[in-house]
Parts: sequence; C-alpha cells; structure tokens
Amino acid sequence: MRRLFALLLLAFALPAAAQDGDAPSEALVVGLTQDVVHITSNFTGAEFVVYGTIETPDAFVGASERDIVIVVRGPRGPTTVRKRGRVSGVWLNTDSATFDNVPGFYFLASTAPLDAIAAPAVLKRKGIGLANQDWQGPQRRDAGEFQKALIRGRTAERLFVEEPGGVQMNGASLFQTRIVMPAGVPVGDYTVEAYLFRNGQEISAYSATLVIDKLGIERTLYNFATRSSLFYAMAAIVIAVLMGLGAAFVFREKD
Amino acid sequence: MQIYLPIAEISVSIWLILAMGGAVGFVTGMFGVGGGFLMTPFLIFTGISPAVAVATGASQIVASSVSGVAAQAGRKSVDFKMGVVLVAGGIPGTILGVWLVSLLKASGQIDLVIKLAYVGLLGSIGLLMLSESIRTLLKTRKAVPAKAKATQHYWVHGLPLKMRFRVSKLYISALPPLGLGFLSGFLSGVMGIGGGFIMVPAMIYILRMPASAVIGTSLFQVLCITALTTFLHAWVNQTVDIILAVLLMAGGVVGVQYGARIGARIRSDVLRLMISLLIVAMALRLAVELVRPPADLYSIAPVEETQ
Repeated sequence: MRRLFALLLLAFALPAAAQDGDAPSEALVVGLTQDVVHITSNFTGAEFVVYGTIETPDAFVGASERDIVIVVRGPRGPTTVRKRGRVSGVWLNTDSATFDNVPGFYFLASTAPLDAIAAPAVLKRKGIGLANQDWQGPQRRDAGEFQKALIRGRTAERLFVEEPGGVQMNGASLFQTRIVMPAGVPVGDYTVEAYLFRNGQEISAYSATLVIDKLGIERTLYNFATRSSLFYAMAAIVIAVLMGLGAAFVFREKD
Repeated sequence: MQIYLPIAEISVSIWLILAMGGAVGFVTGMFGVGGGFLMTPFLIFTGISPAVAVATGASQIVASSVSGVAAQAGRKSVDFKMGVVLVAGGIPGTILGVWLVSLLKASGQIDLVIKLAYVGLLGSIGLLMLSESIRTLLKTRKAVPAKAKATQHYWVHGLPLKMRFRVSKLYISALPPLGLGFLSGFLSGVMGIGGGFIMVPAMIYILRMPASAVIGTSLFQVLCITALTTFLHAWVNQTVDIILAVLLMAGGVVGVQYGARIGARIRSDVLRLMISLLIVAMALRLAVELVRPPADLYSIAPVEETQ
C-alpha cells in the first residue's frame, strides 16, 4: 500500500511531497570493512571501505533524487595556527590563533557536490563540509583567515579530505566509499557518520565508531615512553652507550 | 622499506634514515667533529618535528662519543679531572637550555631561536675557520712557525679557585672551564648538538690545553652533556624516538669508518677548509630561510606546541 502511495507520488512528481517528509520510511544501514585500525612497524597508512544500503519501501525512486554524505572525523583537540610577519628583515611568528575543537582527521565523501545536495544553512547547521565547521576559534575579525590556513595545511598533509562524487551508488540503494588515511593519522576514537539527503533535507543519519591504535612493539614503546618516561630515558642512554661501545669494538678490529 | 616511528608518529624510509646516519657519520669520521649540527636540520627536513629531532639527535651523539672516548681512553688522552669540571658547569647549562626550549615552544618562537642560534654560531665559527684555513693554505710554503702563545700571561691566569690538571699539565682557575662547560651544555640543550666544534678551539686557545688531551677530553664532556640532554628530553618532553635513534646509530657506525679512511688520505689544511665551507654553507642556507618571504604566511603548530 505504501509502495503504491509512493509510486503515485512519483507519478505526479509533487516536489513538495518529499520536503513534507515521508522521512521515517527511509533509513540508512552502514558498515565498515574494519572497525579497528592497528598501527604497526610497517604502517604506511590505512585504507578501508564504508558501505551501506538505503532501506526503503520504494526501490523505484531514482538514485538521482537521493544523496549520501559520509563523514569520518578523528579525535578532536586544540590546534594552534601561527602567522608569520616581517620584523626587521627576518620572518618570524608574530601572531597566532587557537581553535579548541579541531579533528585530527576529517574525511568527507558525497554523491554530488555539497552545494547541490543541500542549502548552505542546512550544511552549516549540521557542520557538514570543511567550509562549514565551527571549531570554536578566537573572537577576532580575521579568525576566518586562520581557519582557511588550517584547512589548507591539513589538506596538504592529506589529513583533511573532501571528495564530492566519492560515494558510488550501486543501483538505487547500495553505496560505498573508499577512505585513505596517511601514515600521520592521529591515534584515538573516530566517528563515521552517514547522512541521507533527499531534496535538500536530511531524512536519515547513521553513526558508527572506528578506533585507530598502536599495536605490538609500537604500542609497547609508546606506552613505555609516555607512562614511565624516567625508565625510558634511562633505557635510551643505556642503548646509546651499548651501541657506542659496540661501534668502538668494530673500530678496534678494523684498525 | 618504510618503518613507523612510534614517538615521532610518522612513517619514514629505513634506507633514508640509515643513509642520513651514514652521511653524518661520514662527516664525523672525516673531519673529527660530531656532526650534530648536520643531524638536527636533516631530521627536520624529513618531516620529523624539531623537538623530536633535537632530542633524538642528542641520543645519537651519545653513541658516537662513547665509541670515541673508548678509543681515546686506551691512549690515555682523556683528562677526566678537566672533563668533570667541564661537566659540572655543563649540567646547569643543559637544564637551562632544555627549560628554555619548553618555554619557547609555548610561545611559538622555538623555530626562530633554533635557526638564529644555528646561523649565529655556525656562521661565526665557520667564517673564523674558513679565514684561518685559507691563510694557512697560502702560507704553507713559507712555513711560518706558530706564535708561542703558551708563554703569554693573560686574564685567565688571574682568576681565583686554581686547580691542578695533571693530564693537561695545567694549573689554572676552575672558572673558565666551568663557564665553557655551561655554554656548551646550554647549546646542547637548545640545539641538540654536542658542541665539539666549539669546545675543541676553546680548549686549545682559551684553556691552553695540549692538543693531545683536547680531543679525548672534549669527547668525554660531549658524551656526558648529550647523555644528560637525551635523559632530560626523554623524561620531561618525551621526545626521544628510540627506533629512529638506533637506525641513525647503525648508519653512523658504518659512515664513520669510511669517513675516517678517506679523511686520512686528505691533507689536514684541505680538510679544515672543507669542513669550514660545509659549516658556512649550512649557516647560509638557514639564514636564507629566515629572510626569504615564506610560501605560506600561516603554519600549523605541532601538537606538542599548542598552548
């Protein structure tokens, strides 16, 4: 019965219908190819796939009417951006701005350019897209310049990625996107969010978590260095002295 | 082959790091200077943060100076008493340097101070060495005897707290070595260098130590100071990456051997000219970075430097 109703809606192509909200009838189900990424000694970055399906009573609605946005966010923390100025011929950091709530990694993929998916006000409210972030910067007129520089710098390191068109639809309801993380990704808890838009309105959202953690000798050494730094410091000296004595031994033999 | 560095938190090529250790070791073996002034900028160039570069560079100097002291101690050319006095001055200097680094990190000026220190120090020492070695090269044929400086009586001899240094055959005040030790400790804490290239001329020209005792004693002093620098950075700032350090040491051991072999075949005045050119080139490169307009006025501070 509901399918018939939807078909009728489609047939009459009532543009207002979707906005009025048949929202509960469509929902997202999302999965990750892995929900834990381990950093080991040969870690050069991670690559995984976020996939999902749109559960809909109405498989005939054209894929072109739906838009999927997938956002992966790393652990948040304060980040300082510095600005250089010229003081008597030498370039030095003369100004800085700290943003309190910046993710260490931000990945966004969508089925279409963001401005074709929803109105700027909607994206701003949901904080979707690098241009629509509120990272709680300082109250100053040029804070926007610092934020742009932050996005520029992190994008160059491939820690901030925006891929309009990065979500592929397989048929009307299956979708997937590939996420590539560089070796410099911060460890911590990540969130994976998927949004379903129809005619500029968000009608469903799904959220999952992802953990990036050091494993094996990397984890052991990192914990040793940070939790028992006094003993790590002693061990570092002992290793250096032993290496030096070993080298002296090699020297003597070859002399 | 890539390896992930657990403290630096980046992935680097093993061969690149081994080659860097080897190149610095080569310079060390060839010229007899520690090469810390090359190591820190090299590490920063590969994308390792300055704080990790300074601390890990210091740990690599510990290893190379241990092997140096072990070789020299057998030849009885280490004045341990003088070394202890230098180190006594160096400890507060190092602590002050490490403390200054943590203070400057918060204010965002650490990069500037490290670069200015390199330009000032490398520039002045390099130019002095360059002019001296050119003069020596020009005068070689005339064979002018060195001035008999040792008999001169000057301000160093008027200071109190006199001590006898048997190996160096000196009876001088403890204050100049304490001061020298303080200066080199401070530079080690801030710049991650051993400071051998400052200590060696200072011990010859200011303390008037015999050349036979200078190399071994300065190695002993550099060893103690860089060990303290490594210890403080590892303990307080947690910036020593042991995987990186071991790779650098492994490359360095091989580099030193080849450097020493080639160095032995080159005349010492030509060697001095080469090392001074290297130092001046490094200072110039850093000076250009300071005055050239940057490609991007903005930069993102490393996590550990965020207020």
